[in-house]
Amino acid sequence: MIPKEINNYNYDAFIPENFEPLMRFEESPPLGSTAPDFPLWTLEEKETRLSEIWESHLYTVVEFGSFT
Amino acid sequence: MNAIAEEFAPQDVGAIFLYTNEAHPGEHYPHLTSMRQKFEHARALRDIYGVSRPILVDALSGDCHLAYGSMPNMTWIFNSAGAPVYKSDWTDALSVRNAIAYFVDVAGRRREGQRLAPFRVERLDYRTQDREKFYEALERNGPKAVKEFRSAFG
Repeated sequence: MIPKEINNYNYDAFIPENFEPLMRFEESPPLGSTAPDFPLWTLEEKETRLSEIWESHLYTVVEFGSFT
Repeated sequence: MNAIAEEFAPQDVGAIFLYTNEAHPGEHYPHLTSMRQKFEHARALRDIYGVSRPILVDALSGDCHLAYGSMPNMTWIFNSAGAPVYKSDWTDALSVRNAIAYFVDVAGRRREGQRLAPFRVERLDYRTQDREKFYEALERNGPKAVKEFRSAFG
């Protein structure tokens, strides 16, 4: 059984009542302050962290998206 | 975006693709119900769309994506201290390239000894809308994805 919050995030139909509540860019972290860190996984399924990525370069470009 | 990553890699600019939820799920690439499936979709993105940047996968619950505003195709640029210096609610390669070129120049001016103070700027950028290409991508997801997008936006 998948928790409701996970189902809501991974909606099964592109309809406004599903995707509009997720679009909260105006509430996103501000520029210039340390941003929240999260675990992420490589395609080899090894765990890393967003902070490990940003610490390893002068600047890091992060594009968010999916196949669809 | 791949070309920009390659262009600026020698200036110590890293680039990743962070895999989120499925924005337009269809019969061929349905909504996500497991991490195993999420890894499969992410590998398909690499292989079919030719994403050459490292792809990192968010948790199934989308914790990272949600914390950053959960827009379907946004781009952020971080400095090495973890502070965002650019955030865009939509990804546009020209906009990202313009920002990176500016920040690389800032780093160079600092190395030369210039004293620089940050300030905030807001700007409205513009992206090309290629509806034909977009619908081709939706068809790859499955007819359901096309139908739902047409229904939402025409």
